[in-house]
Amino acid sequence: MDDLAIVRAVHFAATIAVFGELAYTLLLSRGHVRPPRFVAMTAWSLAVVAVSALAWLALEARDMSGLPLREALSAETLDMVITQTLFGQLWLARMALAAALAVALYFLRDGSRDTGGALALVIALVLLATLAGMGHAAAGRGAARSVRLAVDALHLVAAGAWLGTLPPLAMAIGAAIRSADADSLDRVREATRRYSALGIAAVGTLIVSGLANVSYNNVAFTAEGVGDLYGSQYGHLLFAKLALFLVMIAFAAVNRLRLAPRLDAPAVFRTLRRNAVAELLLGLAIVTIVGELGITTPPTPHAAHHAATTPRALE
Amino acid sequence: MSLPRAMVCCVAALALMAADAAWAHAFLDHAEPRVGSSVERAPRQTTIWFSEPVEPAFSWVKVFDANGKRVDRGDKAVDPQDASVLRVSVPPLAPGRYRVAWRAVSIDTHVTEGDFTFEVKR
Repeated sequence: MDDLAIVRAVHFAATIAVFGELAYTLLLSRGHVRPPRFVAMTAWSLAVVAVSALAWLALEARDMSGLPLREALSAETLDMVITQTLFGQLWLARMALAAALAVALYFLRDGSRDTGGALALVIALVLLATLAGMGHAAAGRGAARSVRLAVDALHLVAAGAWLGTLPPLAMAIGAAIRSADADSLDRVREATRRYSALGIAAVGTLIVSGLANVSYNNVAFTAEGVGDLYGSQYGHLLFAKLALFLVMIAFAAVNRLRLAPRLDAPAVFRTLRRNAVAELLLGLAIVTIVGELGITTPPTPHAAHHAATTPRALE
Repeated sequence: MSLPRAMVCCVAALALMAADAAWAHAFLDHAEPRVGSSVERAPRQTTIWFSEPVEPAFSWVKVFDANGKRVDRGDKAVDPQDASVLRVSVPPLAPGRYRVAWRAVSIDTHVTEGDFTFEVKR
C-alpha cells in the first residue's frame, strides 16, 4: 500500500471518528448525554484530521508536480497546488472547516452548553461529505459530475454514521456495564435501539450509493463487466471491501435480531459490546481499503478498450 | 416499506441511472496532428483532447524533433472553454518526424503520461 493510500485512510478514519462522536451525542444518546471520553476522542481525532491533511497535501504536491518530496514542499509548488488545482482549493476549504470545528468544540468542551452541538455536527458532516470531491467522483464535468459528487457524499455520510458511532457506543456500553447503574443501562439500551434504526438506513444508503459509485467508474453490471473487475487491482480491492461489508452486516443483523431484544443481563451487554468492537475493526479495514481504492485506476471496459485501439486513435 | 422510504429509494435508484460514468484518469482521447499521422502542412500548434478535464498548473505537452531537441514555444495552455483540451504552439516545423510528449494531471488528481509521433511531409 503506498504512502498516499495510508494517509488517505488515516484521514478518512479520523474524519469519521469526529463525526461519529457528535452524531452519537446528538442523535443516539438520550438527553444528549456525552459518551465516555467525548472531549479526548473529538480533540485527538481532529488533531489527526489536521496532521493527515497536511501529509495528504505534501504527497499530492509531490505526485502532481512529479518532483521529489523535498523539492515539492517548496512554497511555490504548494501555492500552485492550493490555489490552482481543484484538490488544493477543496483542501483549503476543508482545513477552514476543521478549524471552525475546533473552535466550536473548544466552546463545548465543559459540557455546559448544548446549543453549539448541532452546529458542530453540521460542520463535521460537511467535513466528511466534502471528501467526495477528493476522489473519483470529482472526475468528469457538468450535471453528471454533480450527481456523482452528491451520491458519493451520501455514501461517505452513511458510512460515517454507521462506523463513527461505534466507538462511542462501545464505550458507553462498557461504562454502563462497569457502573451497573440502572439508568445508564437503560440509556445504553435506548442508544442501541436508535443505532439499529440508523444502521438500517445507513446500510440501505451504502448499498444503493455504492452500486452507483461503481457504475460511474465505467463498470458494467454484466458478466463481462465483472470479468474486467476480476482481473484488476481495482476489482480486488472492491471485492475485499464488499466481503468485509457483508460480514459487518452479518454482525449488525445478529445485534439487532438476537441481542437487542434481550438487553437485560450484563452478559448480553458484554456480547453486544464485543460485537460492536468487531464491527469497528471490520469498518477500519474497509476504510483502509478505501484509502487505496480512491487512487486506483478502475479497469477499462473491454468495449471501450476496443474502441480506443481502433482507427480513431491512430488516424 | 413506508411511502417516504419508498420514495427515497426511487430517487436513489434514479440517481443510479442518471449520471454518466467518468474515466477518473485523463487518457489521450485524440490529438491534432493525429497520433502516428503524416501531415502535408506544418501545424501551428499541437492539441490533445483528454478523456477528462486536466489541471492546467501541472499538465504539459512538449514537442521534440528527431534529434530530441525541444521545438515547441513552451506556451502550453488548457482551452478556456474546455478543460480537457491542452495545446502548445510550435514555430513552422521543417519536414521530418516529431515526438509529442505529454503529462496530464486529471482534476481528480491522477497522473498520466504518454507520447506519440507525427511526421511533416515535404
